[in-house]
Formats: sequence, C-alpha cells, structure tokens
Amino acid sequence: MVAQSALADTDEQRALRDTVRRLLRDRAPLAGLREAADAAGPAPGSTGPAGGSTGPAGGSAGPAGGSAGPAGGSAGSAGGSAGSAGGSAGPAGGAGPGFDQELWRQLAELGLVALAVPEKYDGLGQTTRETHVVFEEMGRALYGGPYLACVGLAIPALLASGDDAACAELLPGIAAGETVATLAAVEADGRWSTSHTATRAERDGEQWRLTGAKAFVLAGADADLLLVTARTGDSEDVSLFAVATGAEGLCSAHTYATGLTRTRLESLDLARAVAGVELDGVPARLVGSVGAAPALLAAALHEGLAGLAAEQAGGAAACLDMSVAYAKTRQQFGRPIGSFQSVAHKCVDMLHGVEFCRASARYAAAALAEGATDAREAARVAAAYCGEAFRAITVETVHVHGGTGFTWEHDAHLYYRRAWSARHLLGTPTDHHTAIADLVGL
Amino acid sequence: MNNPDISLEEFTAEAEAYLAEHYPRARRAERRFVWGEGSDEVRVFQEPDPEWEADALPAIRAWRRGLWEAGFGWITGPTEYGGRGLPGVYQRAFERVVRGFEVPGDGSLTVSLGMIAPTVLKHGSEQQKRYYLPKMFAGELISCQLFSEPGAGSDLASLSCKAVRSSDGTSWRVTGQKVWTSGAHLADLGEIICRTADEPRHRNLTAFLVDMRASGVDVRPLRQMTGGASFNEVFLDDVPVPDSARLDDEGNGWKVALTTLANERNAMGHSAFGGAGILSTERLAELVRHAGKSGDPVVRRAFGELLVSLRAARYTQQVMAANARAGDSPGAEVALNKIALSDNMARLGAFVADVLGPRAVADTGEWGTYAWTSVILGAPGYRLGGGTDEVLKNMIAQRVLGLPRAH
Repeated sequence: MVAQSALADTDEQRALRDTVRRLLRDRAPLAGLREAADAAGPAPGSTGPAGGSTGPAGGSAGPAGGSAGPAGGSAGSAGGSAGSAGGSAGPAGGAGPGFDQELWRQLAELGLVALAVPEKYDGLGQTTRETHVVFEEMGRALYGGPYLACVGLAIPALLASGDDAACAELLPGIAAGETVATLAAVEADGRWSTSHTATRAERDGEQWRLTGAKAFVLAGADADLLLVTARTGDSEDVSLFAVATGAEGLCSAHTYATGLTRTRLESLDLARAVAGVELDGVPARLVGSVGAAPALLAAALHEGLAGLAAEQAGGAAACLDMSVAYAKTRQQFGRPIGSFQSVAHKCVDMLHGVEFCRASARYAAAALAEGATDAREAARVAAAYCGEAFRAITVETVHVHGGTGFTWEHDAHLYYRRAWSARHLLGTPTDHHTAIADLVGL
Repeated sequence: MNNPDISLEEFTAEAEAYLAEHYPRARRAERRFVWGEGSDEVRVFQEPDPEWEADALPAIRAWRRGLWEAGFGWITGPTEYGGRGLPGVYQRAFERVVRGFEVPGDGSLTVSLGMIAPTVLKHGSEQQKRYYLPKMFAGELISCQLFSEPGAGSDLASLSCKAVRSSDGTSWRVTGQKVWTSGAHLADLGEIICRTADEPRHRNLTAFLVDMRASGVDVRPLRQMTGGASFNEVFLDDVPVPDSARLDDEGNGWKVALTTLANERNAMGHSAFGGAGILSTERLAELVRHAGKSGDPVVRRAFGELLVSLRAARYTQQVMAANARAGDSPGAEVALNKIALSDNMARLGAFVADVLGPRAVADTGEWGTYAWTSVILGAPGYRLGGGTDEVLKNMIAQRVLGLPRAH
C-alpha cells in the first residue's frame, strides 16, 4: 500500500510537467512523425520494403546524418555519431537516426534522463514519481526518442544489478544523455523472461563474447550501449552483459563491437524505433553477477511497465482532448455531434479510461518509488489497464472523427498505432493477467 | 484550517484509550479471511432483517452518543456546531484505530451522516446547523433522503410532490409519494424535495427536513429482486412542516438536491467495496482453489483480469482523494467511481458464476458458494442507484467535458 501523500502531484512535479509539455509541443510536433515516415518511403503498413538495415553495410554515418545511425557496423567501421537529423522526428524506418538527437540533448540537459539516477552516479536522485510525469507527457506528445529504453529499462537494470563498478562507469554517460542505452533481452519468441534465452556468452580472457539474436529491441539501432541477456557457457545461468556499439567503446575493457549487426525494423508505431540485433562473438562485459539476469530483468520490466503505462495514460489524455474538441465543433443534423448521447457517452467512457489510466500509472510509480510490497502487482495492473483502455480510446478516437479520422493526415492513427504497439510491447495483456494471479498467490 | 491543537499521535492515543475502555478488541481471526469459518454471507446491499435491524438500533445510537460526548462524533466538523475541527487525516487515523475493536458501527446511519448532514452543513441556516448537526452526529436524529418519485426517476426535476405554504407563512403542508427511500423505516427526519410554485423546472423546487413521525407519513417497505428489502415507498398526506425546517431559500431545492447527490456518489464509489469482504482478494482466491480451478490457466487469466479492474478502481479513488486533499477539489468526475463500481459488480458476478458453475444454479449447502449469487442479483441495482449510469454520463459530459446538453 502506498501513502496517500505520495499519490498527489507536488508543485515541483506540476512545474516539471509544464516544462516537458511545452518543450515537446514546440520541438516534437506530431506532423514530424508523418514527415519522417513519408521520407522513409512507402507508408508503413503497406507492402513496401521494410526500413533499411543499419547493419554490416557499415560505412560512415557522418554528422550529416544521411545514412545509418550510430550503429557500429562490421569490424573496422567507424560508427561515430550521426549528429542532428534536423527535422527528422520519428524512427519510421529507413535512413537517418531514429530520433531527433538535438532534442534528446535538450531533454538530457533539463535533467530528465538523470532524474531517477542516484546522485553518486551523477544523477538527480529522484524517483519513479518524477519520471512518471515525464513519461506521461512524452506519451501525450508521442515523443519518439529512447526515453523508455534508457529510463524505463536500461537504468533500472543497471541499478538493480548492484554492480557499483558498472554503474559508476556507465550511468553518468547515460544520465547526461551522451550514451543511449537499451535493454536487449527479448528473443524471437517475444518472451520477457530468461527461461528460453538462447544467446550464449563465452569467456574470452577478461571479457566475454556474445553470440545469438535479440529481437524487438527498443531504440536498438540507435543505442550506444546494449544490455544483453545471455546464457553463460553451457550452464542454466543467464546473466546480463553490456555491449558497446560504437567504435570507441564505452568500457575500458574492450574497444568496439565487432560482429554486431543491427536491423531497424518497420514499426507499427511510427514513433517507436524497434530493431533486431545479431551478435556474433561480440565483446561484452558482465554486469552484476553470473546468473543474475532473471532478477535484473524482472526489476527492469516492472519499472518499464510503469513507465509505459504512464506514456499510455498521456496518449489517452491527448486522444480524449482531441475527440472532445471535435465533438463540440463538428456539426451534423444541425447540431454538434457531442450533443448526441451516443457520442457524448463515448466521450465520457474515454474520460473514464483516461482518469483510471492516469491513476493506475501514478499509483504504480509511487509504489515502485516507495518499494511498496504491492509494487509489482501495481505495475502489472497499470500495464494491463492502460494497455487495454488506451487501445479502446484510440479506436473511439478514430471513430468520433469519422472518415477524417481514418486518413493518413490526421493524428488519430498515430495514437492508434502507438496504442496497439504499446499494448504488446513489454508483454501481452494475457501475460499481465497471469502474472497478477501469480503475484497475489493464487 | 488552523494548526490543530492536538498532534496526530496524541489524538490516536486518545481514540485508542476511549475505544479500549468501552469496546472489546477485535479478534484477529476476523480480520483475515479463512475459508469455511464464520458467515459466508456476501452483502451487496444492506438488507438486514427488519427485526434484527430494529434491535440493533439502540446500540448504534449509543455508539454515536458515546463518540459524540468523547469528541470523536464529528472529527472534521466545524467546532461551532460541535465538531472537532481537525483535518481529514485525523478522521482516517480514527477509522484505522476503530478497525481494531468490535464496535456496533454506523450501520443504518450512513445516509444520515454521509449524505444528509453534509447537505445541512452546506445549505442550512445558522440556527438549523446548530440544532440538527449535533443531533445527527450524536445519533439522536437519523435522516433519510426523499427524492425519487414513481413519476420522477432519472428526470428528478419533474417531481410532483407538493408543498403549500400556509396563509400566515409559518408552515407548509406536504402531499405526495416518494420511492426507493433507504432506511425510511428507521428515520426521524427526511430530506425532501417538493414543488412549491409554478415556476420553470429546477426553479420551483424547495427542500425541507420533514419529521418522519408526523401524522400523514406512511412508510411501506419495498422488496427488491434480491429478495431483501432495504428501501421503502413513502406516502405523505397533508404532512405539516414548519418553515423553520426549510433548507435554503424557497426555489433553491434543486441546488440542495445536487449537493446530496454528489455526496451520495462520492460515498458509493468509496464505501461499497469496502465492507462485506466481497472484494477481498483472498476470498476470491480461496473460491477458485476450492472449486479446484487454481491450476486452470484460463481461470487464472480471468482472475488476473478481474483484479485489474478492481485494483484500478481502488487506485483511482486513492489518487482522487489524494489530489482532493492537496487542494484540487474533486469535481463531477468522482461519479466515474460509481460507474466503475457498477461495471465491476457485473464483472465480479460473471467471474464467480463461471468459477461456481452449477453451484450458482442451486444451493448445495456448501459453504461460500451459492452465497455469491447475491452479487449476480444485486449487480443491476448498482447501475441504477445514485443516478443511473446513463444520467451520470450526461452529467459528466456537460460538467467535466463541457459538451452541450445531450439528447
């Protein structure tokens, strides 16, 4: 149970919310997502070719940001930074980095990435209550950068490891926004568990070498640091490893990631970059102890679910606002469509979903921040509730807007795509429901 | 609010001492659900046996009187009306302490204390507040709500019960019929909304506190589809009401009614799942285990899905309450909690029926099984009570979303 005082917004959190909302409204307009998708070629969802590979083609991705992102290519390729991509706001696939790096730098300068990093690792020592506010605003704006990957998954995994050396080495760069980190735990079967992990880690002197394939990796083609789960040797132990993707490497122990192939996948959500990652003897360092991955993955997953739920709540709120505004102005049969009960009640059902999404996500964030005994249950509840409610709200958002809502130019489908994608991103509703039964001891 | 002159710790100790002196401590076993122990009753509505209820009333009144005299009768109430003038956190601390004792509780006084008293506080004259509020919180006067009529349900403002002022202006005569009145058979007072003039809708209604013992008041119980009787129809035939019992100005009855209804929805969303152990996770889990279905992945998934709905409703109430205390006063959106409640009742009924299978068809006498049918039977009432879900949605659409009046 969470103290009631932890559930209300503080003045600081309100100020944070306003800041993030303003910045994203100005710097990450939704139109950018469509433009990026248009620039990438045939509309996602059509039968056109999938987003381009940033893999072994290697080559230099210079500051012009023309071709591949900062993916370290085949051996010897000078990965380098992709620099600002100017107007490119979304990871729709194809060329260019998966997100606006200049905006990411600004967000990091505001301390948003560092919020929940302890001060001893150059963070701000805040909690999931604060990141919750940021997630909600990012969800509202459909922000396409790697915030969920870094703050929702990678940072919690590192912190949960209790590996002080790894944290001291890796977290300051992540907190500063210089290192984009993500968690590469899921494989082709899509499971958020280590029970079927097939990627293998072999010891190679002071370091390890990873071989295998990871799937559905958030910001995987853009990340500078991958946290990869792998089975050590022939044992049953699954451990967490850090892989630097850039030419210079992030860890003193090794140089750059040879044998790493990353493929940007076409993404249902135009604002969410997802990649496949293949590892062929890629050098890595162990994070935490051998066999620790199941616990670290579980810790990161619940933080990620809470962050995702807040994003979903924010997206749902944006859809409600959009739909209500339209229902007030759109005239049919000589009066606003919002004066018909069938439409008005739809809008109230959406409000119902929004209020309950926001509260569930808020409760989960507070429970995690306090280390409450029901924190994991709350994270699953928030994920399941928000996943389904946001989906339903986007369905009705398209519907309330009529034919206009079904067009490419309208924003409704951007949220619709996000909602369907997010509902299955970190486990399915069935996974969450079953996990809740487990957590309450049925 | 001024700084309280008693710390929370001192207050809690004082409450603990008072309760320990007057009531036995609750036995631990009662706090945790144990399959097969005690009553397997599943209470969806308060439908006590009328005789038992009448017998219990003196103890409830004594409990309230004791609390009032000891300074716990109205912890958050203004001191000028006998309240303690303390913040809500003291009230919640008191409720926590109470859970450790076996007390008669407020029972049939919840409407009186949770809905009518706050209405008197908001709309009553100075004299009325000084007269009624101490008596209500001390359990001396029990009040009920006389709103709906056979011809005025969702369209409450079309009610036709009439109040006619005497020629000297000092009193009124009330004639009409009210319905769905919970606790009318126990009440001393009724908050009644009457038509007082032939003005347009909403402007010709006036609220009174009518003496339920006055001549011309006839209370008859109504039996519900659950089989129990928790409300009544009330016939009023030329009932005298002094003008001093009029709440707020003549013609302001609609505003008074809205205050009471807002309190009702707030109370419904908050309390209905609290008591009766209906939503004890442990009780539901035990039901699944005893039905031999805890290993069935489909049932486990459905159980998790049900808990999502129940927990989300609880979290939302907590977050709304937290924000309300932090200064954001809750608006009409609190009615969403009541809508969630009726949705969840239906979900709960569907889940337990699926787990029970034939044991929901007929009572085998097995503990903790057929008793759940009261959820199935009670669920439709929750969609109607406190305003139908549809009327509440109209209200939320207008007041929260700013949509035009719906047709």
